[in-house]
Amino acid sequence: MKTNEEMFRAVIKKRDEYLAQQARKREKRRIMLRGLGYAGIAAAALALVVFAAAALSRALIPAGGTATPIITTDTGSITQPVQSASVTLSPVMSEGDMRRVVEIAAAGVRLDEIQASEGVYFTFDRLSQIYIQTGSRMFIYERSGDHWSDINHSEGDAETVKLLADASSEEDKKGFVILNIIDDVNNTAYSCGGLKVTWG
Amino acid sequence: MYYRQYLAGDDDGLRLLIDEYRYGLTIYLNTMLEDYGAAEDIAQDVFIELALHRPEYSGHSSFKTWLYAIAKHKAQHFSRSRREYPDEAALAEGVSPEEVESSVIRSDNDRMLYAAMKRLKSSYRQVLYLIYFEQMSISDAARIMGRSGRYVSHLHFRAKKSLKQELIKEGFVYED
Repeated sequence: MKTNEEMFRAVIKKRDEYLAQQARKREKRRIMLRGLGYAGIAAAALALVVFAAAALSRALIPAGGTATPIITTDTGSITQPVQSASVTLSPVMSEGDMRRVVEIAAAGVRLDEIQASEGVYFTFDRLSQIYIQTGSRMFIYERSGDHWSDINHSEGDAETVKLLADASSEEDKKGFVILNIIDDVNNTAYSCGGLKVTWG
Repeated sequence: MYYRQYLAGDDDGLRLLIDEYRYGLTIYLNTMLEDYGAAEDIAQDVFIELALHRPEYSGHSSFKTWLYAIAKHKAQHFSRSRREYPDEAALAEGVSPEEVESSVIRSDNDRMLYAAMKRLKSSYRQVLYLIYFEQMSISDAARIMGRSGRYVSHLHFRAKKSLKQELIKEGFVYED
């Protein structure tokens, strides 16, 4: 049986390994984004041509239609209409509700497009834990049969959290929703998301 | 508080947290799992959870209640995995329980009581351990077990009755 000191060392070792793994992932992402940067220059040149053509066509045709802002997340830039949604985080959440929270926080990224590791994509059904972290709050949900339970709130009131996907506004900068997702099958932890959050 | 000390960047807070709660937590987990090796592993997982993810302790309940609720949830998750992957779960090392028990259960009376509790069903063991050995209130025990206070109160009553029968079987004279 381990002594208290041995258990303490095992816990600290595990934490340090985790932090090192997170640092490696951040570095990998930075390198990837740098790579995307070069591709971005080419894309920008192409966009300029398209924009010039569009401006020309607008000059010729009366304007109409809706604006489509770009939302930036940790996983890249996604073009989609501004959306906001109020989500109620209950101590116990159904599978469908939790999936909706994750999709909103992932800024509309299709869940099956997020890579756990090289060539390995995660599926929602396989997740065992979801950490929803805002600037100052942390909700930890674990799968429990056909529903999700917040392990810090075994009972009590539901909280309504407004997830606001609006990168065009500088207001409501109260934090970010980060989803730390534990994928049991691949033994991988990774994060996605990065939306501003306001409390409803 | 030790956890705040750790969150403020002092690892000694975590060391003190382990010293304070590790044994009680292991025994409580064992009342659910009947497997000291697994109980010890899960107790360690609880501390890893605190160290890695630093979940927020809101102060709505005592720190101990909050910690035991996290442990209970992890034990439930483990039990499900054990049902699904029995071979992997069986790999948990066998651990002698004496050292763990003697650190929390000190008097001879308590030791006899605890031995009789081992023959009860898991939910009875849990509620009796939390209330008698950890000296928690019904509402704290309910919070940890994820049940209503009324349910736990009834469970406590039935558990006491069942324990009484076990003790009588062994020849104890019960004083009302």
